[in-house]
Amino acid sequence: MIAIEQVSKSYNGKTKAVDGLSLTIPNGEIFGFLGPNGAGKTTTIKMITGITRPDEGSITINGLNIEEDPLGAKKQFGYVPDSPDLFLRLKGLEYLNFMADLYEVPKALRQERIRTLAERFDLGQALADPIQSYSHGMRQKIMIMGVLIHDPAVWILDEPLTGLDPKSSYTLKEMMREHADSGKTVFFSTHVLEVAEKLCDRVAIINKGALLFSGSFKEMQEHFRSSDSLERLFLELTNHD
Amino acid sequence: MIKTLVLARVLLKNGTGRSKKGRRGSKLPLHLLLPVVLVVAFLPLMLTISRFLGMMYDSLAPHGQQGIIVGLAVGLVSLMVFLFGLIYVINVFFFSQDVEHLLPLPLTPREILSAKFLVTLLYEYLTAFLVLGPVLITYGVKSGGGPLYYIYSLLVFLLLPVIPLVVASVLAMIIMRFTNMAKHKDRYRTIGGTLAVVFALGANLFFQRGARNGVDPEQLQEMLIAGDNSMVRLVTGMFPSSRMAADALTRTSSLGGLASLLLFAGVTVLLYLLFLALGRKLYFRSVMGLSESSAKRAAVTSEQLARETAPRTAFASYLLKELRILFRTPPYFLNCVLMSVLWPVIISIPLLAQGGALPFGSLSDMLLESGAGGLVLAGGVGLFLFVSGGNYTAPTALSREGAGLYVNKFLPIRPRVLLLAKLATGWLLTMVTVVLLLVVGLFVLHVPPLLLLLLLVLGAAASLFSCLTGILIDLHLPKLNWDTEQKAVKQNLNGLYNMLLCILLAVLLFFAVLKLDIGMWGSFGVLLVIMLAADYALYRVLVTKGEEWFRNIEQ
Repeated sequence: MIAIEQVSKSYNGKTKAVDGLSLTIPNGEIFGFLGPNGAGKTTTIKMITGITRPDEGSITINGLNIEEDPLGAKKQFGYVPDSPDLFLRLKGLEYLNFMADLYEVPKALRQERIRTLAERFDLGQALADPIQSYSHGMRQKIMIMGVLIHDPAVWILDEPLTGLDPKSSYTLKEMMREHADSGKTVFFSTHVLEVAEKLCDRVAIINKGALLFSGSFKEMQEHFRSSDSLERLFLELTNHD
Repeated sequence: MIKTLVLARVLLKNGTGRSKKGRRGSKLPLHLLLPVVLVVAFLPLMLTISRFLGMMYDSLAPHGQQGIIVGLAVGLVSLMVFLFGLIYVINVFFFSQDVEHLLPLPLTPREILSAKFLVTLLYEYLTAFLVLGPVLITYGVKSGGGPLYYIYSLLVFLLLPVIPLVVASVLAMIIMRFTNMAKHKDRYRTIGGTLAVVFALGANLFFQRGARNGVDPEQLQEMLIAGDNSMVRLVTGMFPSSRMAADALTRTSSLGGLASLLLFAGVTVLLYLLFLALGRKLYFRSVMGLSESSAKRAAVTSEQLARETAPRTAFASYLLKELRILFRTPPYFLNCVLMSVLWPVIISIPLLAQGGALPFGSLSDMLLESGAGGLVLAGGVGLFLFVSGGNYTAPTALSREGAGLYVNKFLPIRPRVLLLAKLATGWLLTMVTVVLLLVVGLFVLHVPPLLLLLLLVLGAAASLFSCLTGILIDLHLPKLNWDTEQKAVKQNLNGLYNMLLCILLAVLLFFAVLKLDIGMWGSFGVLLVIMLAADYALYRVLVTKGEEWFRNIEQ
């Protein structure tokens, strides 16, 4: 579970990227995080993952405060950033082992997980090659493998489906579903509203740093007394202010 | 033609890699400033060459053989342009990242090739000037050449690099077209860069030695003439056209000289046209698909998996990651790793150039006996501070992360562990320099073992100091906004700041020891206590304040 309480963040002391945001992402659900460009999605994710510090408010992940117990909180989640162009000079296997070292995964377990994840993402043939030689989708996959190697309870994924081929995209969505169904948390941001509509149990829409709506798609339709698609509702919501 | 020039200008500007943002303040663009700075930096070398040539001229003139100097220089420069050309061409034509953006633009191969050739040619003029400049001027002054000689010189200087560069370009295009070298970009750049540095050092050694030993006219004659003119023929033989250039320069007053010059210009133009024709056939085909890199795509075996998944502590794992990236990224390798090995070599060149007869062995004994051992220690510490302060590993430790720095913030690693792993990486590389310098001290200068041992202890403390200051500087001024790795190290002023800081400390320590005058052991104690105290204080700052500074870096 992720609990965001009254969180604000401004840049240069002026522009408010996130303004008094409160949001609870419960266990056992896939939670979609939506909003137009510059709405504050990335800033929010950066604050949850400890990359930037909020000016006000608090964030806890499974009860651990990211500011007070950063190491403990960080071990609760696995975070897939939106750009997979990282660690390019390392080989796939070296990167996975580096991640396993930092997350203190025992040897037998890390081997087991590398094997199963490589199989699921069809990356077994590429592990001995430098990540630089990977395509965009392969890089995305190896990044996902790296953050799942410690089997985190909370998944935080920033635009995870970009660049994935249909099969890997399907696999990842399947894995997200399994993970949520096992009572754990999946939190992901996306611009693809069709995916969000189909995949998410609940969505939050933010714009200009403030929460516009949080709830299930059904609740949203009831709230607006409309049978429109998520796309139409989203456009209406984010245009109206 | 206009398109070609516009493109060349853009390529040249891009090459210096300065973003518009950083341009404020300095009116003079870097791509114009850089050559000037380089020429100034190489002025001492050029003066050495010039002196060497003057001696050569004087010993050859009585036999009427002074023209050999020009022939030799023209041949040598052609060879140099060709060798550097191979490296430049492969970098500019093939490995530079603009290639992929240029391919979809409505440009003909001829325009792209000409623009890239022009850019490479400009680099080559710079290289050629270093050798040809002193030669042409020295020869002109010594032979009393008139204005015509200098006009000819200028023309030859401008035309000379074209043919070797054409040959290098064609060769490079063939290599890239028919081999898979393109797929091993990193390896090529590392090897090419290392060779270039070694070549430059070798040339430096050659000229220093030649200039210092003084030229024995008899011996030189024997070398150049008696051997059937073999040396001149060898160097000019590789590029027959350069003989015409040399002929034009040595016979400026006769019509034959003019004929040679015209012939040389004609051949140059002809070969350039041939290059364009060939390029049209070869270049696009060899450039396409270049962005792919090498991959074996072989399944990982169980043994491999078992071997490569050995658990390590966060510190060890991070240190290993740093070293891997330093060794595998060509600009990091050349600027951080290679430099740590090269400093001792650079410093020993003047010593080796003097030959074996060195008074240093007895000198250091003398110093010890006369109680100046303290100064030797202070001097050694100064040297260690200077060379390890000049190493870019620690002062670019955070800058090298670039846009990916944020990764370090969401990974479950304490900032202090991460900073200490980066510190250890820098210390490891600077200690390589310290140890190699001590080896030079042992074998070349014959420094007594006891003194070396004391120097090792002080060197460890001094290099640790330089890494601590380096990393603290980088924590304050990380240069994270770069698009090529080159800029993270080469255009990072943190290395310079760190070097200046270390030099300052070196000077202070030296004068302190000089003033105190307390003998070898006393000086050792004072130096060690000061260095260790400074190291401890800086370490405390790093693990307390440093963590806070690291958290405050926002992108």
